[in-house]
Amino acid sequence: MGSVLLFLSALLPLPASAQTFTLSLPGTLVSAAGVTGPSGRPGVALLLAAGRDGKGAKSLLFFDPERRSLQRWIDNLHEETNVVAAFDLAGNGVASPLAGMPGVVFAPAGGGGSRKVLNESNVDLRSVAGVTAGRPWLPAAHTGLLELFERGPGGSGGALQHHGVYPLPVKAERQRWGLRLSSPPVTLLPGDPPLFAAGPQVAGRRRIETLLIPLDGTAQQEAWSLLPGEERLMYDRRYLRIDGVPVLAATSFDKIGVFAKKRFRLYVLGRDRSRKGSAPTLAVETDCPLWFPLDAASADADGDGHQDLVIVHPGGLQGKELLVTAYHGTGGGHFDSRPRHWKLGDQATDWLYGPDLTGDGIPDLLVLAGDRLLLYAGDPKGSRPLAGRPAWVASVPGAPKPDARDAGEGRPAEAPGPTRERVLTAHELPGGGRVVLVRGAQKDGRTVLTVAWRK
Amino acid sequence: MELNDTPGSRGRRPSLPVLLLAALLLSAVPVPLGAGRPSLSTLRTLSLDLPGAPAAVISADVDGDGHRDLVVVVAYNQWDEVAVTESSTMDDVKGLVEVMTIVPAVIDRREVRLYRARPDGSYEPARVLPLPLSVLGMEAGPPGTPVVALTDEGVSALRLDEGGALRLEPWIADPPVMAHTGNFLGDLKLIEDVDGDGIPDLLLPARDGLAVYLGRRKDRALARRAASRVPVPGEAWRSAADLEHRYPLPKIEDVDGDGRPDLVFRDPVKRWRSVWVARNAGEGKFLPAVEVVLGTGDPKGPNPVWVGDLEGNGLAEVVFRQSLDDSRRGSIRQEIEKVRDPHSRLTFHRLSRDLALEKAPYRTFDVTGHGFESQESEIELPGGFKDVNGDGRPDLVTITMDVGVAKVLGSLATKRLTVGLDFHVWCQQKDGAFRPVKGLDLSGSFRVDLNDLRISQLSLFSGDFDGDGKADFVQLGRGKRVTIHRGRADCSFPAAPDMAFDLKEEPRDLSLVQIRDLDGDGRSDLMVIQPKRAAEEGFAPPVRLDLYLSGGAK
Repeated sequence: MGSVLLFLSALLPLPASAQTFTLSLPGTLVSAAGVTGPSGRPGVALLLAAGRDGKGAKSLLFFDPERRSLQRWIDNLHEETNVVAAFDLAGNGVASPLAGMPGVVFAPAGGGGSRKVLNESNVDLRSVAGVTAGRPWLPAAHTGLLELFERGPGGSGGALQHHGVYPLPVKAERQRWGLRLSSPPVTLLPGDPPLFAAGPQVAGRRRIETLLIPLDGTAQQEAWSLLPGEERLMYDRRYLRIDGVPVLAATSFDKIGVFAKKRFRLYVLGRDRSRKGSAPTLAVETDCPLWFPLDAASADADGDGHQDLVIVHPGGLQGKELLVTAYHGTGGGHFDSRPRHWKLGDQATDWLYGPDLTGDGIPDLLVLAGDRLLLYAGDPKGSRPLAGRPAWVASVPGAPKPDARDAGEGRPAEAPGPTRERVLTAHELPGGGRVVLVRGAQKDGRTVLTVAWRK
Repeated sequence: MELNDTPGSRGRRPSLPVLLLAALLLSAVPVPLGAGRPSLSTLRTLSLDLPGAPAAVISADVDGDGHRDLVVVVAYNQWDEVAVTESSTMDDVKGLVEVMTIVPAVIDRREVRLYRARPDGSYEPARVLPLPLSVLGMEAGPPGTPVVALTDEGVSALRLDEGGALRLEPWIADPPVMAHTGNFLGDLKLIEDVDGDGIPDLLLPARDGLAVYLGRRKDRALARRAASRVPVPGEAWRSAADLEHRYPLPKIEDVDGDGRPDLVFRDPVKRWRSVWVARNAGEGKFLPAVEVVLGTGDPKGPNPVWVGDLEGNGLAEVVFRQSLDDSRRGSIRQEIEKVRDPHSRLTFHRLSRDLALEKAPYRTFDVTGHGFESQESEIELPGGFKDVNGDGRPDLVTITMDVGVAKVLGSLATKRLTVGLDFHVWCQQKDGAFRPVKGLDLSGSFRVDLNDLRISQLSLFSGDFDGDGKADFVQLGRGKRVTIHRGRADCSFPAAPDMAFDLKEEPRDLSLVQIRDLDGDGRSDLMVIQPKRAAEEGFAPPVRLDLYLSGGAK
């Protein structure tokens, strides 16, 4: 397997804890996952498309951030291949890449070839949200079913086999062209024990149903949440765990208007036999206009050992600010009502809260503003949750312009609600390193990555 | 000489001599416009209090007494008690003990209510049958099985016992594709006459294909065995965002000119860009579906927006639409203007008997307004092709909107919009040309739920209140006031209403109004769903169903 060293652009100033550099790819980036490379080194598996906009034949490359090298891994994957995931297929503790397309999963077979390790209709590795790396199974969901696949016999030459099947609720609707049968989105919550959440589904106007699917053999649980007033659920919905407690973070709105803002609701998810719905444990007004997305994350932002709640969203009518609010967790999904606030007076194209790139154990914030990538270090004890000045700034070639963004590969064009193109992704590497990739475009449509790497 | 044609049948037409005779009679006896036309009658009002929203309202003669009864399926939720049994440990007791806890819980309920029609036009008090969640849909069937329920197991017939009690009689064992979803769909529309014998048949969406159950001639009930099973073309699964399974259901229409209705499937992903046609092979059987590729989806080029028989000759035509508006993105105000008043060019192509698309269009004209769904939109507007003047050939209705920037921005989040709508009619002439009808004032202001826009719910042109076969225009959207403007042969409607009346309450939004014949007298009726205050927040509100029945006092 020949290694291909591609153009590595001018080295940017290296901060003490992370390195940043740019990397031109010989195709369009479709998907990435932190894996162990063919030679046993940690890195990132990159799934590339030959054509623009993620179309055309696919190939899998291994990117070694320490050596800044690219190595071909699988050539000529089917053009419908759309995702790469990390999985210990050989059972030796090594996270290898699996490339998936609807109905088929491939593994590298040496010499640039691939072999099918799963061939089952309706399996799509993109179908379950959440981080699956490090799990002994791979989840895939389709209408009516959540399926888990595990390593089968045969060591490194083995394939995937069924591990378990879990029913999902199905909703039927009549459309002009026929019947639409759908199940709610499925998320694997972070942390242990493994727990899947299917939902949320609005019942009537105010009740919200989540189906919790544990893997320990206990029964599925219906968790019901209740919107506090005459308000409607919006599209910012995320399942989190806070100090081990599963929660639903969501936004809602009451009245429509140019100056109307989103409301934030946090629900602890537990068994609700009455099905009436539980009130939120945190219900606050935000400064997020209705048309901008809002992110919620659970993280120990103040270093006290309890997970806090951090929400990030643009502010101002035109989104020319980025606002971060951190609520101090007091345990059990409850929070101190006096949050810490942080504001950036710049228009962000994309942002990512959570990766620790400064190495102090506190989550940091990455912001893409124009063609600059800025890292703001988390501040555990200050009056604001993040430092006032960026720890470093890197230029991002080919950065997307806000008015030129499109739906992007892997996201349906009709995805409802306020969304943004995610050009910032973080990947945990085997052995503890961390890589953040920022996707830019070259003139010919191929991807140029800005890489931030911490060993 | 007799007209050997059955009402509702397809494919058989009066012979040429019959038509000539009819024409001779018409020309021999001059008839002033409107003379001899059935008159509009006053409306009877009737209100039914329901514990929840009506999921289906069916007009059918359940008891076989010759009068059309009213069958209403209601869905609601209420507090009830559930028993929960758990194993637990207790002091001084060895091992586990079973503990039963009674928990108050919100439970989903469904029931079917039968209102038997009396000869005087009134209805008896409701007879109620609780429905299990395994009942997935209900609609009127052929007379021998007048109301059929789709269930997890297949199909049951709604029966009225001699003692006057309702029951579901299992009729067909063939689980549908949506079995065990627990959803009730009131708008399935699976009953159609697929063999052209005038007796309604059932197309059951089974997992292994679309099962055709014919209406039997001997007892005019549904057969218990499928005549055929048609593989469903274009079935699709997606698991990227929502997890979904798309199962196409066909439009039933003769498109190859053989006089027998065919199954026309739209691709659930490519929409009109691709259709499949399963040709009728007789006796409820169909040939394997063939794909007819109609377009590429290029947003700047002409795109197919409709397939069907425009000329009434049993052969299909395909209508392509191309926007004449500037495709470049403009300011919000310019974009809103495009939405309010879009301009487009329609080109009409014929499909041959072999289902080949003729390259050259046979007709082209420009229209203003929305008449067809956009490529990716699920929103259905009340425009499009429909037979307005009852001549058996579709006319065209388009809609322009009066909507501002603030309203549109608001509707993106709320999915609700109050919008002024104006309707424009293009009447199909004898030579197939479409002539715009001038001088219409059909505008109104409507509150609409963008999540729930269906053609059946915006049936402003679907009413025929005098039973003359021509669609009357029902003017809604002006508060409580409803006016009916009788349709004319030239597709026009008089500016002054032929009838006006006030609703008990202004409809909350347009989707809560339905226009159809509820009492089987051949004249349209009006049905308005009026939600009342829920007993408790988060619960389904009770509903008052207001019926405005044509035909006057009996």
